Amino acid sequence: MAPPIRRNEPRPVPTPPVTARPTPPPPPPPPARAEARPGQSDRFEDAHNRVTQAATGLRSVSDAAVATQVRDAFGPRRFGPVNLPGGNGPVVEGANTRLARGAGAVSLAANVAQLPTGAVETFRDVRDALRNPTEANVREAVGTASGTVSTGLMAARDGLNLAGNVSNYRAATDAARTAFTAAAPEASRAAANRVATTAANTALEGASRQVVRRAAAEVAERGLEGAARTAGTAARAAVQGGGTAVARAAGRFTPGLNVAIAAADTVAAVNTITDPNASAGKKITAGVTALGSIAAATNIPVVSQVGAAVSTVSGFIGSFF
Amino acid sequence: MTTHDDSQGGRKNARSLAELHALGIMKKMPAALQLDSTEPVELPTVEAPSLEGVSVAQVVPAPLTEQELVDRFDALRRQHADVRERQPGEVVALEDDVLVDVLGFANNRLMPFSVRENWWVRVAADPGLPGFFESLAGAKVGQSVGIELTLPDTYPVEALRGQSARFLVSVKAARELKLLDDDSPELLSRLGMGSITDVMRKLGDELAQARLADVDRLTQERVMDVLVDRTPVELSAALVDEEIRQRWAEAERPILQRKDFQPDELQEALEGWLQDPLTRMDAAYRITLALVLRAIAERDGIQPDRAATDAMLEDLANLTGVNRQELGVAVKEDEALARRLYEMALRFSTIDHVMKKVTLTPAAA
Repeated sequence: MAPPIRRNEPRPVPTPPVTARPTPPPPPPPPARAEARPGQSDRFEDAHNRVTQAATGLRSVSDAAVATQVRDAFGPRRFGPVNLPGGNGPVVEGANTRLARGAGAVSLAANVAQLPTGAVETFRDVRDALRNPTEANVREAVGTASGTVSTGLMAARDGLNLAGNVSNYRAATDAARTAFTAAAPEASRAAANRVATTAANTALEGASRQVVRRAAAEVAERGLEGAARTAGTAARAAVQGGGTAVARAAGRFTPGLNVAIAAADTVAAVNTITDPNASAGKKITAGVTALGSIAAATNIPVVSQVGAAVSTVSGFIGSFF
Repeated sequence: MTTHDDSQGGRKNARSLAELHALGIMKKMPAALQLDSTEPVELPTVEAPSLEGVSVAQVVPAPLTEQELVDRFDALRRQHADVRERQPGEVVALEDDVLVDVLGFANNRLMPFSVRENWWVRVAADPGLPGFFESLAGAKVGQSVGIELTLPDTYPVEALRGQSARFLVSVKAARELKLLDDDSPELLSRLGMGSITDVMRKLGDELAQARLADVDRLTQERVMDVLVDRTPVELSAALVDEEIRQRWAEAERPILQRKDFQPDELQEALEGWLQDPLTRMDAAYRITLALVLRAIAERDGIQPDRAATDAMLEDLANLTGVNRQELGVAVKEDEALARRLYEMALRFSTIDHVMKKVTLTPAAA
């Protein structure tokens, strides 16, 4: 638990700056709503095919998109366990309704709208529609996007191989840990060995889910005895702690989660690390960020990074190369 | 810190009209666009707290559970599954891995910390955000989906709990995974760890090690909490603002700029970070801790430790795939990077020093 610290008064909200962006024209009158009727899911699919054509520049189908991608649906709106007040009303439903229904709880958990292009997040009117989705601005956004698009987005990179990074990093930290503990091989090693021995002694033939669970249960039940005895090796933990932090951070984080400052840092760091065009300096900087992003003690504020003379810094760090 | 020397005067120090014009523009820039400090920030000085009598209870390690081990095993199964890249336009299915960009909006504003770029996620329900990840099933590769949901009561950002949120998600790529059976010889062969018993033993070992490292880290953080608690310091709002702005500029601004966010939108995004109470508290804590540890290092004459620094550099090199030679070149060319590494090394040494001075009491069972 964080200790009580002096808080600063909330900062007054500054007035948003005036920009040169032209005032958007008033939205056109809302289109006639399409009535929900049997067989509409097929029309969604059809509309999507046409939208896809538009996306490749073959034709504009904004009207079709508007007419078929947004429809009224009524009934209680549930989001997970929470009933929304005022739940009856128009919602945007997923265009891929057939598959969305196949996904079971999806339709109960959230409302999904397939938007017509890949790069819509770069369009401000789409973003505006997401902020405040009135019927008019959704229509405008969908129409605009479907008429604009290019396929540039599909130059999707190979992306990052998180598992690989975690694995590599684990290997690195394991090596470091081994080096650290070589001088003082005490309880933490013993705990791990205990777990290993316990598991090894479990005679298991063949493999099945049941077997996997049984093997796991054996390890889990006894693995803790050693761990519980050896919790006090904090002094050597700085680097090691960073290792588990990175491993965890590279896993799954929820967007919007507040610990996601760390997550945002780490996802960005992993992107940089896996970018073949990023310089060595940028990659190392990203690594430092990742190391510090969860382990509070190693998260050094940017504003505090003053102090030692340049010659001291370069002399010390340079001596390692 | 730089100083301005007017003594030479004349043409050498004269600024061109273009420069002056640019400076004039920069002064009017919103904080979100500025690369350097928006205003001078001054670090307060603190007196190093005494380490006498600091006693902290060790953290109790959480038990290893069967489910955790099975989860780890399942993660390995996914890692070693047969993978097929889905084609543009192909529909994403549950349990796929998808590469997404995400923007989240709530209360008509960009949600702080919701921005992601090139993020691989699994299409499966997650209690952290019910309705989000599973809703990606049915989306098409190369297209975007809008997801509207209500943030759960357990949502960590208190101000957003129960709020309606809308996420704009671009599905940039997807991979269909065909998992091998638990008892598949092919799976065990790919894992390369021997029998299922050996696999589980190794996973248990890893988990136990990770748990111990976590315990060490948490105990260490408790000690840092005590130090911060012992050190009264007044931090200006401007200092906290600047720290948050720098973090935001590093993590989120580049993504938003690539998405053509306009200056007013960037400013709004920054304000989302600046106004989040937990973020402010976190920044204030980190700044205070930095001041405290630096004061201790100065008082007690702490220098970075060579062996620990070498291990840190090796870790970083392995994590980033940058070899030591490249790393050496980078630190020679980039003073800021060298300083950052030095700061980190000094931080480790100082923490080590502190941890040797404090008393750790046995964890309550």
